[in-house]
Amino acid sequence: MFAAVTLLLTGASERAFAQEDDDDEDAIVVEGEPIERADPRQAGASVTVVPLDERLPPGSDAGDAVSRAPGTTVRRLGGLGSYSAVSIRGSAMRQVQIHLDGLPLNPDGSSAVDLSALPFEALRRVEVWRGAAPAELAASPIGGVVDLRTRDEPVPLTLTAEASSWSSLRAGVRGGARLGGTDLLGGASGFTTRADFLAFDDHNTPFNRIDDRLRRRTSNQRSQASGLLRLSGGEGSWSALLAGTFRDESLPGPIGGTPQGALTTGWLLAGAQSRVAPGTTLRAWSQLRHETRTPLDAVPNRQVQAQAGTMASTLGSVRPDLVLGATGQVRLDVQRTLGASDAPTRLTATAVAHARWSPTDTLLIEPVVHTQAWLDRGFGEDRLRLAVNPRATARLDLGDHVVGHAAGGYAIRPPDFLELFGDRGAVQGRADLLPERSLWADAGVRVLGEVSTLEVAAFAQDTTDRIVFVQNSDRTLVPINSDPSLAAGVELGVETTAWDRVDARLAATWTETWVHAGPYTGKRLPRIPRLAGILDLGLRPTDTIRLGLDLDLVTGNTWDQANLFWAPTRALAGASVRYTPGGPLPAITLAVRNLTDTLAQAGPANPLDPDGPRAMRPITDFAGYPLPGRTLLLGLTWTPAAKPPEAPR
Amino acid sequence: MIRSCTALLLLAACQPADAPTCARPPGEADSTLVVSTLTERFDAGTLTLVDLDTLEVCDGVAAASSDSVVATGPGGVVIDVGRLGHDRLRFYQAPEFAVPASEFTVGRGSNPQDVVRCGDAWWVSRLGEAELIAVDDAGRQVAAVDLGPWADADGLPEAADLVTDGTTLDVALQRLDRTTPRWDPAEAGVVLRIDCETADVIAEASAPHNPGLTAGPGDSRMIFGVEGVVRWDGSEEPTPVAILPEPTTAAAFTSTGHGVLVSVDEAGWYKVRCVDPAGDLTDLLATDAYIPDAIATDSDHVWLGARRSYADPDRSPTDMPVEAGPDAAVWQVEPIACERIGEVSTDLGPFGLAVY
Repeated sequence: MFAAVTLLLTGASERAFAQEDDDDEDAIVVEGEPIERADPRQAGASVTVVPLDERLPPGSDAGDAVSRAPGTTVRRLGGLGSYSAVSIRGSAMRQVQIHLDGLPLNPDGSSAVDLSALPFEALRRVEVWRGAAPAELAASPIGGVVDLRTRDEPVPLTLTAEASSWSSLRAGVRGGARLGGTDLLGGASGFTTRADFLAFDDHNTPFNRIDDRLRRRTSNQRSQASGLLRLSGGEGSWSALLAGTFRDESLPGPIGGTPQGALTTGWLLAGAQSRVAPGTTLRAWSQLRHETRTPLDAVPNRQVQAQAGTMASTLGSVRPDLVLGATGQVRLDVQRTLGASDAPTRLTATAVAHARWSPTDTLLIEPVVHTQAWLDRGFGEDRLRLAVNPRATARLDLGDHVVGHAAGGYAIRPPDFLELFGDRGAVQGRADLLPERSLWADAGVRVLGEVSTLEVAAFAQDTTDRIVFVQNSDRTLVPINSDPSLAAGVELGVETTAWDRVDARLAATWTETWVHAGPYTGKRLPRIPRLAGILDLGLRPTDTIRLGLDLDLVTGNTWDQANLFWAPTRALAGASVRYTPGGPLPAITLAVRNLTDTLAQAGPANPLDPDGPRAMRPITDFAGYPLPGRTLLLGLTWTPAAKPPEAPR
Repeated sequence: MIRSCTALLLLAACQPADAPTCARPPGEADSTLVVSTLTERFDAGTLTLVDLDTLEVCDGVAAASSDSVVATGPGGVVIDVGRLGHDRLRFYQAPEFAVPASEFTVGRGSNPQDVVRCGDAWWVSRLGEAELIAVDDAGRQVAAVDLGPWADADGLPEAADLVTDGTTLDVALQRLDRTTPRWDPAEAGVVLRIDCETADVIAEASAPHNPGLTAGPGDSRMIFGVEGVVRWDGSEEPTPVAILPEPTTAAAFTSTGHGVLVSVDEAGWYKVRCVDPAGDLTDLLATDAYIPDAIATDSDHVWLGARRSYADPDRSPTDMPVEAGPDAAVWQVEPIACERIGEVSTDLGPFGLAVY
């Protein structure tokens, strides 16, 4: 059976799919390292590289790209460009660490990163590491790492424009140039939408069908500008990066509620890295986040978070079969809330020692010891904590096209500033919170053919001291270390192409979760769907036309700790047609999202009585925040200096 | 004998469409404690029933909102009040809890707090509106009282607890400052008495900050808040009953005039004290559980909800016995002897209490 699958995958076609990204393997070389860390042939960790290419549905953002990796669940507040964040293998969103070209955006899960707010134009691919993360990132998150990578290859000037339903407009530009010995890469985009789509509103009365209405979503507008500039030179020996986003949005509140004011966020990241010696890289970065939340009937809450860090990693062979490496990181985080007299700070030092040992030609073992110490100040008395998180990965070549891999280890998420310090409002902080900790393992097989790949992996992750907020008075919340939970499942990723004309990509994950102590013993973790899958299909009937179809399915998704309420199964389909005339003429894209205009699905009005009266509920990722119905999109992509099209290979 | 209907459900011996075994028809005496129970993250809720004679528990007889409190009306009417973000009332006719008798919204963003039957209508207090409304059984508004003149600087008076004698009702106005993150009680509270037939305000009195309101012995009302507990009989000035070192957050009084007071200190410790008709206090216990509500029954017992929470262990009280709180339970207290005489566990943490 296994051999048959291998044969099918590798022998489906002799011709490679002539897409613009088939040179991607060249792009994933990490300077200074003896192997390509994200190459599925090499990595012992579970990693998927998602190229940002035409297979993504039009109008996609970083969240859409991440969701194409198995093991991930990306959730949106609703609408194009709305808040989105990722969970990996049943993790919380804060337990996933997001990087941009290796620079950490939320080190140690300091917050869940809004994927929709990240600059997208200059990105080339997304690496999704599930479980084990590359040692040189100095990360040991519970869920995994998403590393957004900028383009390495020369980038012609390209202009994009999109107009879509709900008064949504997006314009972008990207391009590269060489000035002297320095390569420039830049990308910027602007986006605005009213997002005033129709949504199903039952007035929170599921037993009362008379007051059910389709209601236009109001106070849902947002505008965003983001950009990225990267300089590099010395044949890749150094690079500097500047990225930022400014976003202004209304907070519409849940569909049955009232608007909640406005939120303005700004984010700026500056970083640089240099290969100071063969195998040795230095990195430094700083970032600044500003957030102003303006409730409708209260004074604005302004908060600034600043971070600066530096990192050094080195790698060297001590024997032909053994490579040793070390990474060190020092980081300072500061938070300042307007009106608060004190500013909490955290100083973090991380040391990572790792090795790559090849006892045989077919086996590679990589043990990693991640040690972290952090000092919190401004939470009462100073508090110093230490954590040691060992992990290891192993890769075994099982044949010319088959790779087995396994990994396991210990991961951690220290409490963040909100959990430790509160927000001077409804959330009270606690300085004595323990970090969330997780013991995890996975094992899988990759089948890597010329035109097709298949990856299957099983995973399990046991997390203790999860941090949840509980109420301790009428209007205050306090975080507690909550009951342990186990998440286990199977993830599947398939990609294939045929005859240069057809391509398909599937990412699917089956996740079971259990709380295994405390009052919710036996319950599933909220918002972790049992089955989540995305299928992308593409067809090129001619050299200039591409037809796309995407299906997004989420089932078995409970909203609450007690597993009373279950979100209706969400099946969304999208379709697109892209015409690329070639040469200097722009490519034209017409796309439809939520093709079937699904706004609500039926379910039991009383979740305790599945056979009782039925009620309609809006389709959502977050309860109360409906997703939009059918959305039309028209896009133009213009590369003025593009060459006339070549005949297919 | 305490047992749970949940286990019976698994054996199909207790079908959810049937009346729960501990849901008794209404009688002349209080027979059933109705508890809104919520998850610790406040993301879902249920109604749970406790048979006051047998202490049998039926967990999850109906789904509730994630911020539900409960109220009861004449003839065994049980109302699930879906508060912040839900803004709706759901009426059940005990012992039938599978399907509500009616359900309607009371205004988007209105944040209803309490409901009582007074006159021929249901009167609803709403934290997010400056109007006390009366609705009929179908949710149509039939009367309203403008509470705007008693609003604090944010324009809303924050109407909360209601108590009625059937012809008049009393409403506590919390007068919270919504411009502060925790809605601090910036101004002293007010209690109004309203004639349910004419919808006129017929009496008013000042109250402690952040006032709650409960029935007292006879026709009196007990008002509790930051400064302690006072008794009000409709006159201009309430009579002080007890002063506590911490804000009082819940209280219940029996027909004997004995009561139970719940307060919370700055470290998150909840303290339970008994108070006699003379206002003398007796310490019962302190706990790290969150005690959100208290209610008295006509058998002169007081019930308290206790749910998992957090209190600073380094600042635990030294002036009274300290007990580790349960994950989810209701406590039965005999206020004259000031003893906790019973405890029954619930699946989810109790939040609102009512009896019929």
